[in-house]
Amino acid sequence: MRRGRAWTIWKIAACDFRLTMREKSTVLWIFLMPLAFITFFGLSFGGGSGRTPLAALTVENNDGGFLSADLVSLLEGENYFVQMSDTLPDGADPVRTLVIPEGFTDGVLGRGKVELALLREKGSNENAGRAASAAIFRSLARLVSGLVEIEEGLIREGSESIAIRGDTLYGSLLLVSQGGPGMAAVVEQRIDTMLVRPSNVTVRPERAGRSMETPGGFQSSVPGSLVMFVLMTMLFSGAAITAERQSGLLKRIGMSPAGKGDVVAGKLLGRILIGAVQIIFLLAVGRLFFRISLGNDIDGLFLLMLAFAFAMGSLSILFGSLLSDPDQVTTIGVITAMAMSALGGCWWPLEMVSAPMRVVAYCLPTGWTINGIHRLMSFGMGTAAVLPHIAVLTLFGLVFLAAGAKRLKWDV
Amino acid sequence: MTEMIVVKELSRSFGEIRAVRGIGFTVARGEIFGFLGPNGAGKTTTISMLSGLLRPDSGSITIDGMDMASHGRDIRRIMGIIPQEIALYEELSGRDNLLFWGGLYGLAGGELRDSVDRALELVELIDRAKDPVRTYSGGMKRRINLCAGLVHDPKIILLDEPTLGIDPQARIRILDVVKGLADRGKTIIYTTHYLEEAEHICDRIAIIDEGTIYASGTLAELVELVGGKIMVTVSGGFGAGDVRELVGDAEIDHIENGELRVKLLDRDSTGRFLGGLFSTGLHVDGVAIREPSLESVFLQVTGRELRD
Ligand SMILES: Nc1ncnc2c1ncn2[C@@H]1O[C@H](COP(=O)(O)OP(=O)(O)OP(=O)(O)O)[C@@H](O)[C@H]1O
Ligand SMILES: [Mg+2]
Repeated sequence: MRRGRAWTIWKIAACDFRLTMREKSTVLWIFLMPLAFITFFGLSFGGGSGRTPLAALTVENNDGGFLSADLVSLLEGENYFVQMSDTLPDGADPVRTLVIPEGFTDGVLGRGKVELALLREKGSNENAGRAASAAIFRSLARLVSGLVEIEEGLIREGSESIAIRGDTLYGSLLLVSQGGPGMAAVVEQRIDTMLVRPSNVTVRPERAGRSMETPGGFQSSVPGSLVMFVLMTMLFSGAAITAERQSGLLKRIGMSPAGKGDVVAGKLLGRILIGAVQIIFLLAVGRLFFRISLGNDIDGLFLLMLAFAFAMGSLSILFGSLLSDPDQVTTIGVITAMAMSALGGCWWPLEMVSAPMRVVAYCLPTGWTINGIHRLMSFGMGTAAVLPHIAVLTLFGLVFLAAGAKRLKWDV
Repeated sequence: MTEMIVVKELSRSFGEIRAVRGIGFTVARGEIFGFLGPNGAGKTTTISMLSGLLRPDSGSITIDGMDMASHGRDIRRIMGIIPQEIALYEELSGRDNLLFWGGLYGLAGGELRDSVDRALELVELIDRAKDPVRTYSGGMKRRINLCAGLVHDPKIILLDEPTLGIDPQARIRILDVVKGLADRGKTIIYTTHYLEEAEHICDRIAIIDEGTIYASGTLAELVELVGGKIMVTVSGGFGAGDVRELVGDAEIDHIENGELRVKLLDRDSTGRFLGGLFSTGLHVDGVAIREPSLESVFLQVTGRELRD
């Protein structure tokens, strides 16, 4: 019994996979070079410099006052990536949310009772939750101690709206701010000035969810290198298609029962398999050897990376179809890989670049992938948070694939 | 006689170049049909169209009762194609190459392995089967190239100059394999620009040049075309007028200053003609005598020599 098309596609994929894995240069580019890059960039970004946000916290702010805004900036000072709940992308589940109630500012200024709630998604990391609570307490403590200092100052100045008579404190900052025209602004300004002063309590930032020392450099050099080298592996593989056309192999395959669709599918599948091996290898090495956190959702991370490999594998088929010389493919592959890595945020965090460059990053598959990885790895979000990313990458892939299949020629 | 391949009015151009110009032929089951023609005659272009790789500009191809335009994939399943260029994965071993090509045609498991072994035996390469193809000699590559198209036991085999650039010994082995395939009932199209090969193995031969089939038939039929005559070509420092009377009743094929080509009925008349020529004392540089053969047929129908 002769097998059908799926078998033919599999044969083409397996052959490409095998040929790639046999090549010495492949071993170098797929496995060794990324390790060198991770180590180099990891060490140069250095032990926990904390330049990149360490954990994510969603804040739902129902208060209109300035104190809640101050609290948010204090949290950001705690090295938290604070995401306001109303700017959360569609479909993203916040892992943990701090709810600031309505009337927070007035309540605190009036020394009334206010309740903050920290909501946690089921299954979110326990340690990360504790770290988040600790960070919130520290921020609140700074806020409150700041308020107390201001009160003391006002009392010394003999303010009418706040005073100590006998053992009792009368009035409040709320009364001060309501004490006359412009007073609210005065209080607000004093508090803001107070809070930007360097804290006299030094807080050692802890990686959310991990009590163990981790050099922060690797936490960002692994994702960057992962994306960049999967990209290179994929783009360089376009040269093989061109070489097969030159040697008459593609023509011979075209004379077999395999149609153009089968050949493109087989070649793409082979490339995705190679990508998958590289992804698993680099994530495993990152986790076990460089001891980085892969976040709470490894399946999502793998899926995201596979979508990226699909998009870039398709681009390699397009390159292989459009260009006629393997060296050309390699040259254009290197240029494209470098440009897409740099602009997409593989080399430095996108938070560092200007707004227009961030827009450029989101026009590129690399930008989407890096952003998705950060959501999963750094902010502890789940697969749902990267579904839009996976969809966009798949779309990129389909467009490249359609163009590549249309332009594929058997013959030189 | 079952017709396995029926080609009608087939044409294909590449821009200005009319590579194939309305050719037609039929090939019966178990027959070796030869395409004899010089470089650029249109042999590979014809093979590419027969293999479904290249779409004809016009004309039709029917193979085993199926129309190429609508049943390309089904046709390609029963066809084995041996391309003119050696197309193999140089880094893979001979066996792995065959496993790949056989797999592409849907073979799997034990059936695939057995077929590969049979193919390797056929071309006597079992011993070197494990070595990468890049370490093979030219002749060995040709042989693997040949059997890569045979692993799936095709009914119809298209061979495009399978003996190109190899030594006579390796060529004989390949020709034997091809003959053996025909004996087992395979239908074969064999292109070549070697006269002897065509004479040696083909049941019928089409003479092709400039995209046109000038004549086709069995060797005997083709020889009959030139009237079964001996062709004598004389060159030297003489004018056309000097030699015209010498010819007598022999048929002049071609005459100009310095060259004369005549057809003579038999050896006796050839001897008389040459005796007469030399007795005139004309300056003769060379004399070529061709017995009725494919070579003389080729010369006759295309008006030029086929040189290797
Ligand atoms: N892809 C192509 N593009 C342009 N011209 C082509 C192409 N393929 C073939 N030709 C032209 O068509 C003509 C026939 O070529 P073809 O390869 O069929 O000849 P051939 O008989 O196989 O010759 P050879 O013995 O050299 O292999 C030649 O003039 C060739 O230059
Ligand atoms: Mg040819």
